[in-house]
Amino acid sequence: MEQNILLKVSNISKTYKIRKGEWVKAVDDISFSVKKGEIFGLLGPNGAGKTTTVKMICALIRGDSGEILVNGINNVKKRTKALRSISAVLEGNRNIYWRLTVRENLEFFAALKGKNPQKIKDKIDYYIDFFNLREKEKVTASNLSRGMQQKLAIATALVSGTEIILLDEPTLGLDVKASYEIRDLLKRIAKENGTTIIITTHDMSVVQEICERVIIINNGAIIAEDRVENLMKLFDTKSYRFVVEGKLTSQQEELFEKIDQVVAVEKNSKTEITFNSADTSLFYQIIEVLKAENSIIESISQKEVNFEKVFMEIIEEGDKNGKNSAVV
Amino acid sequence: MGRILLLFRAILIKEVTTFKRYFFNSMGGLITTYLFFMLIFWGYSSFAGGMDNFGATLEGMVVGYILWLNAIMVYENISYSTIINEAKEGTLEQLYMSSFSFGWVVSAIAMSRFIINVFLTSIMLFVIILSTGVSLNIDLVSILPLLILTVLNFLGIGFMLGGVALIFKKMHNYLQIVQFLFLFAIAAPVATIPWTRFLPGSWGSHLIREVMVNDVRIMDFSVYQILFLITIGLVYLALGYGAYKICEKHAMQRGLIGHY
Repeated sequence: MEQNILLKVSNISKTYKIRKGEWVKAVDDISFSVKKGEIFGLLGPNGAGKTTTVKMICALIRGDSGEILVNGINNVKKRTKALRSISAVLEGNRNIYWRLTVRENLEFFAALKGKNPQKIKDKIDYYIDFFNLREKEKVTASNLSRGMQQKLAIATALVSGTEIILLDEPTLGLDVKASYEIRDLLKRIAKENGTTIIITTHDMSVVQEICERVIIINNGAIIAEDRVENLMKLFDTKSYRFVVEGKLTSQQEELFEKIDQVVAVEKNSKTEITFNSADTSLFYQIIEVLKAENSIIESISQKEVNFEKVFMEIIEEGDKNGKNSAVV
Repeated sequence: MGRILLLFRAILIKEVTTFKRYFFNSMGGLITTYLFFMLIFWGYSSFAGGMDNFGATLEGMVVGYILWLNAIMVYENISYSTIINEAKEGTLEQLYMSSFSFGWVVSAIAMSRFIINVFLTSIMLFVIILSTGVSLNIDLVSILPLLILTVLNFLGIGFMLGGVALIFKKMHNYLQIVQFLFLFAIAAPVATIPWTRFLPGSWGSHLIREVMVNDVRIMDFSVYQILFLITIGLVYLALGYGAYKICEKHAMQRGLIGHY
């Protein structure tokens, strides 16, 4: 086993039968690995194959081919042994028992992973404090707020001390404050406990903020795999917006039409010119074109690239080049 | 073994806690089943022309009803409460991802609930005895081993239907049909129609009735009678678990575990 590799996914594929004679490939020859202590993002649009991949890792779905090694253990051949290293929150706040209190949930889930709750009492107390649930430890989960239920669900995954935790949409349905709190806690978990966290999410701000490395899946195949900062650099475009008084001249329109990245739109007796490019010389080119015809520039604004934009670019590029084409 | 005991303990605590937390509702269910029995009892009493004409039939009916309740509770614990309810609530995947095989998890749930059920049905039996004035031999040393071996039949059927529930999820109507089949199996006249002893729970019910109604002790049964009870219990359990594993494999291939 390669050093520090905790999860190794090799060439997994999964096809589902839709109806007689009709099959759909949900996962198509996916391979990746996750290192110890890493926060890893598994991203993709709806129906991309994320959930199937996650459930195959959790041994809840049996693949057609390929192999998944958890801590070097095959998760199909030695299922229960492999699962001792994985905990997952797949259904958000529904993953806990609503009729049990905070402490009872933590004790139950620890036992479910083969840990004696009496012997890990300190650890249970640690997570109650860590997730700020001390005041609510004797309250049934049904009486907690959505954010607290989500925190409890993550705590139940952590309490047994498994090395990998899989979180499916950990911030889904949470308000801004609760979402921020969860992100902060996840970062602390990885930093303080060295836990490997695998996240699937549609919330790109979560990815940008906490993930170190991501894979992007579309139509069942990996279309991008890299560190978040590298992907950001790859699409290190800057978006500029010029607002110009009045209409553009026909000469200006002609010139702008020749540049792919520039879009000019007339709006309420003003013209809005936007362009996305890492090439800053284009910025001066636009200024020159406007200056040549004495156009009055009302404002210029700049928007930095965010991971949501990177994600969309990768998906669109992948779609343009054929479903399995990798952009990275 | 220590780990299995740990699992069993955790599940028993969870089940008892949930039961206590929903005590009022649980009691409501118990009162309903009691009233249901009393309605049958009064109806039968009027039809038979009074209590005096019942004789051993009434005692047999009480024992049969209590066994039927146990049968329903045991098989529903696996098929309905565990598979369907846990899938509905979103916790089935967590049970599947435990460090134990799912068979152990379900067995621990079934055993925990069996203990609670024995407690509940004992209360029910006591209240029915008081209400009807019937006299029964409560020889626990004889009854409990027979009951546990009889329950293996229902556990097997529970696993079988649990497997089917894993794939189809919504199958409440079929579960109700099974309840009536159990009623027939428990009341089956195994002494006069020998083939009925192969029905799930029939032979065990017959032996328990012998103990409770005719004051027979467990030691009075022949080795053959007890061996047959053990064999049929294990056969149903093995068949049920086998069917469950086939369904589970199918559900895993189709990605149905946890979906509702």
